[in-house]
Amino acid sequence: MAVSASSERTALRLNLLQTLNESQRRAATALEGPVLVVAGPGTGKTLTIVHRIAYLISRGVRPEGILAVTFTNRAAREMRERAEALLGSPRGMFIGTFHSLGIRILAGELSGGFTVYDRQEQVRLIRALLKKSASRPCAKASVTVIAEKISRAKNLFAEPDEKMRGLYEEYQSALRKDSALDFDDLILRPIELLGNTDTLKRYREMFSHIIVDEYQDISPAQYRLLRLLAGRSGNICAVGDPDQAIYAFRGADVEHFLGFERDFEGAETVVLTRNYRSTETVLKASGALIRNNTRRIPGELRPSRERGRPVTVVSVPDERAEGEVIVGEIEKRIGGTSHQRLFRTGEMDGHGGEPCGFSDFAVIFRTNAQVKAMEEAFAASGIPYQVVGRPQRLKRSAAADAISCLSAIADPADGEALRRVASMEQRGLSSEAISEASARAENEGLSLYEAMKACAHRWTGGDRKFLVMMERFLELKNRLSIDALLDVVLEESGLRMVYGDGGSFTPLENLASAYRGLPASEALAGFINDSKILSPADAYDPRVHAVTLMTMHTAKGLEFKVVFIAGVEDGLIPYTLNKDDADIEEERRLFYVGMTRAKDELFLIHARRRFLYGRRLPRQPSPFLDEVPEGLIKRVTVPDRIRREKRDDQMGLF
Amino acid sequence: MRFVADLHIHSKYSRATSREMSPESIWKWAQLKGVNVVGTGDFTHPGWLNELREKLEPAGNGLFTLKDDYRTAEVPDSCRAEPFFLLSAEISCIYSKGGRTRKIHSIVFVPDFADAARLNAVLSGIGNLRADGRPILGLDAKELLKMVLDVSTDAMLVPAHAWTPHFSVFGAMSGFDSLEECFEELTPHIHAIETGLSSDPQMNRRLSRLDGITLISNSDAHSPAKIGREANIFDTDLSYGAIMEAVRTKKGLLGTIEFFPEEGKYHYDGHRLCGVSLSPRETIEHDYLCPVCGRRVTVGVMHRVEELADRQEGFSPPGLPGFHSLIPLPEIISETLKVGVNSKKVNNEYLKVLSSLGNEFEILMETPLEDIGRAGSPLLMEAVSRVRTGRIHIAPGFDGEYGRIRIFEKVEREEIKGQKMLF
Repeated sequence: MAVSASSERTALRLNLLQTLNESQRRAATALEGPVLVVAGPGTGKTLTIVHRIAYLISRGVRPEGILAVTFTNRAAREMRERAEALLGSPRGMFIGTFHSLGIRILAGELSGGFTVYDRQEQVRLIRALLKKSASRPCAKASVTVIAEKISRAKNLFAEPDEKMRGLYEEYQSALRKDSALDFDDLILRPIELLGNTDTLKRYREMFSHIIVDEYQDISPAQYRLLRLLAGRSGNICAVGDPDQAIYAFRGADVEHFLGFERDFEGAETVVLTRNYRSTETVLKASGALIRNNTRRIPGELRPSRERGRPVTVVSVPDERAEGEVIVGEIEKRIGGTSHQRLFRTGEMDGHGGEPCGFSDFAVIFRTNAQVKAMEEAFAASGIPYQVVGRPQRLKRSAAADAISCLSAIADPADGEALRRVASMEQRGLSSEAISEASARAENEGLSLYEAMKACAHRWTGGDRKFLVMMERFLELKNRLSIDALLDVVLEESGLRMVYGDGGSFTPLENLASAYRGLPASEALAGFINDSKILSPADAYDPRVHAVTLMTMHTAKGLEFKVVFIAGVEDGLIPYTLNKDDADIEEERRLFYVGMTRAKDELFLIHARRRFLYGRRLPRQPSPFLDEVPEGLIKRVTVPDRIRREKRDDQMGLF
Repeated sequence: MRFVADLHIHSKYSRATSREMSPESIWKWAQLKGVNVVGTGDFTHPGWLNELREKLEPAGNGLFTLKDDYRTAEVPDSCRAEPFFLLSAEISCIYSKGGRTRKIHSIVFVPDFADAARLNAVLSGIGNLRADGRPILGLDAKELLKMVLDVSTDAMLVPAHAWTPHFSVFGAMSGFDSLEECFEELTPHIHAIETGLSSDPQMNRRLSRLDGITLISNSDAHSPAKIGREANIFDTDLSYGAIMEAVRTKKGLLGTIEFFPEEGKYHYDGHRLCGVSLSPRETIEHDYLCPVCGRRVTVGVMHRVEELADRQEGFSPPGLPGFHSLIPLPEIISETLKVGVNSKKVNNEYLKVLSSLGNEFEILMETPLEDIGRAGSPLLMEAVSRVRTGRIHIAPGFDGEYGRIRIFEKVEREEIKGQKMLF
């Protein structure tokens, strides 16, 4: 039986909003004009956004007119999947990061095509420029620091400082020469293009409804882009939480959020206050902390869960004991990981709480400098763990090898990519073959690939096979979609065999699935550009059951049953080591983000001594701990070790 | 040909194992025990795999032999044989499924180093293979099975000690109620389960849904002397392929050598810390709580079998491989000498008996009793006879505590020894 589109829409509309609470419903249905949605942790932000998208469509808004901007590819993917699940099928709305929005606009406007330089390529370029130019702008600064300075200037929409200007201009012209853009240009260039009235009009018509996630973290440049697209009173819905603004160091400014009502005429503010994630105790503890900030929207989250266990504040002798305590507590909750462990702790039947897998645990810290000691404890225990935000070298090179393969397939004349593919250990070329082909390319002015083909008649065995493989890939490019091509490439290049299936390629594969059905020959270049903006946070793979180790910055947006915050010490939280201009409110927000990741249990651990930055230092507990009401806390002290063999017995806390 | 295989042991690279678990001493003890094919264990550990590569050489049949240079251990002439190694490993999967924590141990077999290395490459992306010879992976056991099958069509995965409460596919604490629940559509690739020390084939056969599944038995030894305490008797070609074929089809598997299940650590229910041992019925009467401390008791293997069984006790379907219930010879000697099983005295007597009679399995199953009497003692002869016919007493094991064996009443012992005491 045929159902008319409008009655289908009505049905969708009626069912759609039933799962939302009152303020979520308001946020999802206030469609006209600017809306600011204040969404604290665990208040159902993504749920609300995807319902808003579905509601827009049910009201007859063109899916292509909907623009939803997120901060990470992971968030975009989740949003897209959940919106499609709600709508029952994929639609044409644009859900992506600021960078992918930039790529989208540029791809439509720049006729000549362009390449995206990721951070590594950017650094390589700057290094080359520094070598060439006689004067070094800031003698001491490392290349990475210079790259960060350039990036920050672009993000702030500001001129680079005097000393940098020369290099900055050389850098920009080098980019132009290569028709390359760095990540920040993906925002700046579209802003320039939208300076043209006709172009601007077209895009404003194209995107009738804009939703921005994590609005508290937008930079001045991103703000400028949004303002252009939305206009002063356009249909823009900004969602976020000023208490979780943690990217000031990248040039983000929470004032955009706090000033939204001033900025956009007739703006309505909706506050989501009901928290569905954490126990009442976790909420009260984190709420008491964040109340001490002044730059925020006053208010408090209301719990919907039971009171739960007290927050455990643990004092340990040093960072080694810190790791051991965490490992011990995880083992207790898993119910022992081996018979030996069972016998030692006497914990035969788990912890009595809800059963857990390894992925229910997270260890969160302020700086990456803390990760090494923590990894040692996990490595010794055998408990599976993953460090998120600092992709292991293996994963990085796995993805980079795969991208090189695809780049060489997209454009066999891309000598750099082809060289990298050819030098892969498995199924690559022998080093003699590479040098032979390189020499020939040089002498005869051929591309590397042409040179390889010219040499190939004399090659045998693996060298021969390599060329056959490349030829096959090039042929498949015309027949397969990107996801299918990626699959074949990973398989036949031996990459999957070398790196294993342990999630090394998951971000790439996820990205490819967004291109499902698109022929590789057309979309490959776009895919490669997109793949370069996969941010570290995208390396998080929830399908691997492992304890997650990460910094507070990467923890944002995630939740875990049990959270351990390590190094809750003055100097680390707030972070004032090697830094005199710490922004205490930003540091408090970071700690707040960490605490509010916990659903059931929260451990705050501080060491009395710690080896950090090459020195062993006595440590004091974080002053932020004093802001958490004593009544919500249970304090445990692990004594200094007296005899080594006693150690194991001390590790059980309760 | 007929041969005995113990396919699941651990190397010195596993937690809580003897430092003696090296290729050399495994080679020696396999001969003492009468094991013809022994699993290497732990091939997932890079250090152990390197050692195996260095010290073993392929025998051309998917099995391996110890290189001559490493055959340094002394083996009594009476026990000399050519033991073969088979690449095996055990992997602990800890994950949540269906809202519960699952902790499943699986044994994996592969025919060559290349397959072992490939599987290791895949697994090293998932977990830490170096921390423990039996690695912990946060991986669904079904996903592990998929990876094993992807690595090689010759590889096989067998759920380990399928009934133990904490770490097995049917375990009361963190297992499943059926293989299908665990392995879903890949269940047809599960051809066998390992019965573990605390259950024997008879108990397993009370589940009609296991009729198609082969039951195998292995020692899970952590020290050389424990090798072969459970094992399989094959009658097929001596090759990896033939062994796997027998495991798949039961054809060529004559039967298994078993512990008396009561001797196993988890036969009964109970609470070890309070010294409380309970039969399944008593556990139910106590509402699963320890009568001393009130905490939950550990539900053992017998109870769990009872829970999942659809047949009465004692049922045995026809046409399936049989089994021998045995007690390791050192334990029997320890009982006759009334000294600890790890004592020097037991060890001396053990080696003495082996030197004159042959390997342990021969003595336990085949050697004429009179010969045992002659080489050992009348008491030992009587003890072996009783073990062979099951005339022994065992206080069942529970909650990690081994069962306690008694072959003789005190008075009997005196009588048999013919040494009437004066008081």
